[in-house]
Amino acid sequence: MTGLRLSGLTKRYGPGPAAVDGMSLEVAAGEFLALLGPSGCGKTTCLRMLAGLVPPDEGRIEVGGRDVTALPPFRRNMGLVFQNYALFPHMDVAANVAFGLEMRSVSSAERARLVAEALRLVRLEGYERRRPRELSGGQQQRVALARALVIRPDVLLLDESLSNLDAKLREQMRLEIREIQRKLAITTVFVTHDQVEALSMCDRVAVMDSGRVSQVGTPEDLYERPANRFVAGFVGRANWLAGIARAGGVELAGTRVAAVHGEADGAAVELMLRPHRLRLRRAGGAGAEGEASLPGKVRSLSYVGDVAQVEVETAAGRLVVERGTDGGDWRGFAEGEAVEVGWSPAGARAFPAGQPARAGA
Amino acid sequence: MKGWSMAGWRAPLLLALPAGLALAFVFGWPIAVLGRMSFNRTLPGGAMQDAFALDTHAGLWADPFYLELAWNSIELSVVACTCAVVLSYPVALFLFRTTSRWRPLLVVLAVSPLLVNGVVRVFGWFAVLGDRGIVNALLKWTGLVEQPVRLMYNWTGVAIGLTESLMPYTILALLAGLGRLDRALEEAASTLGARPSVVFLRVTLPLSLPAIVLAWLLAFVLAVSAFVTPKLLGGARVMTLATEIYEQALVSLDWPLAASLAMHMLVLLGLLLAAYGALTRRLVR
Repeated sequence: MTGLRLSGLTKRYGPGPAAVDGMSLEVAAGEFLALLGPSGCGKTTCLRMLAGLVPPDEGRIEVGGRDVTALPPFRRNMGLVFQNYALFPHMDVAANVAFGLEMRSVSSAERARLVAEALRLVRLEGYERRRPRELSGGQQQRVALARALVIRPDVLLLDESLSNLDAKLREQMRLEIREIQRKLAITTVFVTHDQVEALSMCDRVAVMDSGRVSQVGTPEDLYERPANRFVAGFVGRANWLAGIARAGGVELAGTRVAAVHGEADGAAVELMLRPHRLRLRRAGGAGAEGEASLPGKVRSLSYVGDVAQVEVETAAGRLVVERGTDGGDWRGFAEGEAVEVGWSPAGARAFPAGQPARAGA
Repeated sequence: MKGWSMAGWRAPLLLALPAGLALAFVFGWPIAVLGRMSFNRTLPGGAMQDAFALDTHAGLWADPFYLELAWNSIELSVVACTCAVVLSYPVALFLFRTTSRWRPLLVVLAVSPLLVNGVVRVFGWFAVLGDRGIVNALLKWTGLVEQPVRLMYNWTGVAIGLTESLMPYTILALLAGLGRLDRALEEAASTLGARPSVVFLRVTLPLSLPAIVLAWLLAFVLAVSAFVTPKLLGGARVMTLATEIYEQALVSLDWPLAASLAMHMLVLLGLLLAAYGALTRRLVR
């Protein structure tokens, strides 16, 4: 089993900011890591450098301790699944899957055995003689996966591999890819802009922003303990309230609430509050022990299925509160009603103000 | 629904009508006239006699000269279009691939010979291929030859000139046909362990095959009917069906013979194209 290490990886296309800017990252053997970020953050360039399709300007790529930076793609032994699958249209499924084995001069009997095994792994037995254009998107995706896996690559690279599938199929493929990855214990790097994919499939997620790694951590780390304003805004939904840092808390429109932050007293900050972690009660009602709260007025209610969103206007700004629709008690509040929005201080994090939140939550 | 299905077949027919009429008038009608003329007789004095006889056609088949002529035309065309396609392919591939901002200019340059009159282009070849042309001057200067190599007024000269005159068309046809060549396919092959030469042979070339077939076909039709290049670069020594038709129609004024030759050429071309089509359909799928 082989791990992967990138150090100081940099790529510039022409003048201006680098597409990938001094990126360093370590992926353990058998680990499933996501490179998550908005489009243009450099994640695809990074993946192409890993595959050897783009030469880095600076930095090193090591696979299992071996420096592969200068190796061309055909000497790297990496399995890449392209966004549009890139199946060879002039070959049938079996020939597509066998291509990498043929390049490695595997005997034809062994080739047939390995191809059959790979197709069984992606549940496509019986499709050997089909042409790619005769397959559905999901089936093409599986062929691409089988073709990349059959060569026993040191590292599996997935480039937005699920984004061309419809929602239902995507969910199913998510589970399947995860299962196959676990079964083979293959080191995998998965490039995606979809945070749900990244969080649900991967062991760890590297959030990228402007060619740099903004934060690496488990899905829980990123969601519960975002390192900066960008990660907090990109991963999960969030309310943002402007305030001033005070010891152990934040001052919001004159009210002092408890919150987690590392800023100096008096610094302008933005407080992040996750909508589904907020609690709503009638004005004057007693909050839970140690709860921080803000008074406000209900502006609107909207029902979106599993949750209902209640928009509350407070002196510090507007807050969206999500309430489960189970039992129907979300109807307990009316528009214009005076309420109190409460939260536990441990989940409230403040970040220095002024950093633009580049991507929508 | 009914209205739609009516429009479904009527509308395309209606749209094709102007072109169809124009073609029938400028193409179908003259061919019909030519076909009729080929059944006329030429009297010993050279006058044309209205008739409905097979004399002229039969005469063609009886004379081995015309068979040789046909073979000569086909051989020349096959060689010239194959050379043209082989030479154009790298150019077209480069033009298809390049991301240079000069790409549009380069494409125009590649097809710019079309802007020059065919006769003028052939005269350009005189300066290159003649006994005291650039090629022979170079060969003499390097000491490779004592006497100039005959590159004009012979088969070689016509083949060279024909190849060049076909290249703008083959480049355009290849460029149009390369549309489905996806860079990601070549990248996929290389990540699977294929060296660049293998990528070319296993992915790039097979996927360009439809484009190559298209270009070859177009070039062949143009080459068989080419007249200016064989006439001028061949002197009177290289004869093809096209030059012979010209000869008979405008010099000997034997119109039934010219018409019969033209009809034969039309049928021959049709048969060859049909055979080629059948062959490549199997090859390309």
